[in-house]
Amino acid sequence: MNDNNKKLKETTNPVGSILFGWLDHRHSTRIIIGTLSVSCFVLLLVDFVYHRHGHFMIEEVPGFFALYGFLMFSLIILGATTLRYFVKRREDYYGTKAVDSDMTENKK
Amino acid sequence: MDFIQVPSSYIFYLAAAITFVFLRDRTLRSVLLICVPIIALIQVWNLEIGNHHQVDFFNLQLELMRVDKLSKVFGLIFCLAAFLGNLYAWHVKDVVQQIATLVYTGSAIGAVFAGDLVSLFFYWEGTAIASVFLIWARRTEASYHTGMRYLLIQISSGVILLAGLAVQFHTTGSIAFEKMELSSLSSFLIFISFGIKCAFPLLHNWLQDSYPAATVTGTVILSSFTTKLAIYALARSFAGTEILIYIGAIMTLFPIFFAEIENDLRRVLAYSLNNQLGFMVVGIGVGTELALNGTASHAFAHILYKSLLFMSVGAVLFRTGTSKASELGGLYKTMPLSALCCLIGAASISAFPLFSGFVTKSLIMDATATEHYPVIWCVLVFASAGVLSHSGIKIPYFTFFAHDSGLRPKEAPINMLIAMFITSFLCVFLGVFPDTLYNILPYEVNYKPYTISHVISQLQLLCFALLAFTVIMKLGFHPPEIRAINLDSDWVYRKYLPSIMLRIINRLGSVNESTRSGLENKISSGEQILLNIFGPTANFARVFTNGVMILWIAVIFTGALAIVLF
Repeated sequence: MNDNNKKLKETTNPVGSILFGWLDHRHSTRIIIGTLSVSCFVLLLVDFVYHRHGHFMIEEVPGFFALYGFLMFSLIILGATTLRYFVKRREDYYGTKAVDSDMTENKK
Repeated sequence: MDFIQVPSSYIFYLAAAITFVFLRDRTLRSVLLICVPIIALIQVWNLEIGNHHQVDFFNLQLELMRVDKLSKVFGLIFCLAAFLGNLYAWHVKDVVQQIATLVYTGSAIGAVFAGDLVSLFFYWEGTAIASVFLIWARRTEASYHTGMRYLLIQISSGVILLAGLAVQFHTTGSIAFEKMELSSLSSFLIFISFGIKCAFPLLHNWLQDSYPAATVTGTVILSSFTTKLAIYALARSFAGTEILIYIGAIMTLFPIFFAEIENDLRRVLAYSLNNQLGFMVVGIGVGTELALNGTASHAFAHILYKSLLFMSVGAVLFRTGTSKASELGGLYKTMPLSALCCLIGAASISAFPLFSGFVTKSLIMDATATEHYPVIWCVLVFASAGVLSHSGIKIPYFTFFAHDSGLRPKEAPINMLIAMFITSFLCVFLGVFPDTLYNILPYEVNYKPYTISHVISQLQLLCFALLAFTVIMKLGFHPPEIRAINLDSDWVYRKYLPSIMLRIINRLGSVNESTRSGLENKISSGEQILLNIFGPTANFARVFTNGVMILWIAVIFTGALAIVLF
């Protein structure tokens, strides 16, 4: 462990270690993704076991909400990326008349 | 006079006057700012249904305390939000912000209980004028300009309201603030006025422009009142107006995309606020008892979780000096409690079961389904996935987790933490015990949020959206957090119209210049002609001899004689 890492470790809040210390584990990302994938799989399975009731026919199609959630989220990211292509400007585009380039420490 | 009958706004105004005149001690001021909302909360809680306070004003009778279940639920949450916001701002020494907060809060609560359009107008403008000081309190050139833009738009909203009120009074002789049909000029003007404050599409940009410009604590206060006051006003006047369903649906949609690519996290939250307002506006448009209950309860829950999110991002801004996602990350190491509160806020706004958003948003969703609006229902489900993307994931993930920014700020101050804990507790409490909130709603609630179908479908939607996020991050398709801004409709009045004005002014300037120089040329050539005739060297200035003069007199005399004689 080099000095820099040591210093970072030392500055970690003890409450932080208790609440989120497990995130520093080597396999934490894998654990999170694994848990999420298993949860999704189980939730999808429920649809084939339990007949869901809804106002619209489509709600009763097994896996509708799962598919809708996945696709719509992807659509949002795609849409946002496309939108950025058109509307992105430099941070100081509005000059001194906007707070975006205002680097004053706002501690009031 | 009975304490209970005093307009709640007076309590805040009195406190503002005391703060201004007497309180030089910072701690005393902070204590007062916390006590006043508690006193008002007790008062509002104990209010009985009815009209309690009338004032004569130029032959008009103003109703300052019209109490019914709708105004009461908004009054309660406004008092609660004021208490939490002021607790969060305990450390603030700036007396301007403290007085502005008291006047702003008092005006918002006053407007909620206003029973006529005239008193609504006064309170409406009161919120505008007081709140701008929370932006100017940042005391930078940028915040001054932003505040001016904000003030201009807010005051315009008030002026349009006044115009609508004047037309209504002229045509009907009534100043009643009641349910109206969108069919006359007056109702249309009033609708636009409410729409500006409610951040309708294309009228929305004051929100995203100004909220990130206010002070750390100012934004928390701002986020609670102005827009929810507009929601209340719309619910009061335009419930069941169908166009609101479509306006609301658009409001839930477009901010999602802007929020996703925005770098300033407080502006992300402002877009998110706009999106949440959309849900409430849809509820008002549907207008059934279920839908209006949905709007009122969603406003209640929304004020809490949105304040919580603004508080946690504000704590980060307070400690690090920035709220830009590109500069943040990994703060869970040293700000774990703020991170925890932020996660609770994120879960609430994303409507995870057991959190407040779940039990309130579903009322509106259910109302659209019950009233057979399948497309609107699909839009709202889509928007729910959108809420998860920008508020549920982006805010906590890029602030407290994601890549390590190397920043190691201290945990938020204790007053901020206590405010965040109480708000977090309320978010979870309402999620677990929804009947507590349902019991104070305007109409009787016959709705069970925790059915297996509902919980499973919501969990599927959210978990698969999270899965999509994970896949997108792994593939590297997520738009990176970069230091940039994004143009929105405010570009029209911030860049385009000023550039047109500049061009017109330049053109007028050159026309003026050329006209002037042309005229000057003409005048100077005229002068030259006159000089040639009458100047010192001209014929008229020549010295005539006496002989020539006598000769000319003789000629004129002869001519005159000839005319007379012949």
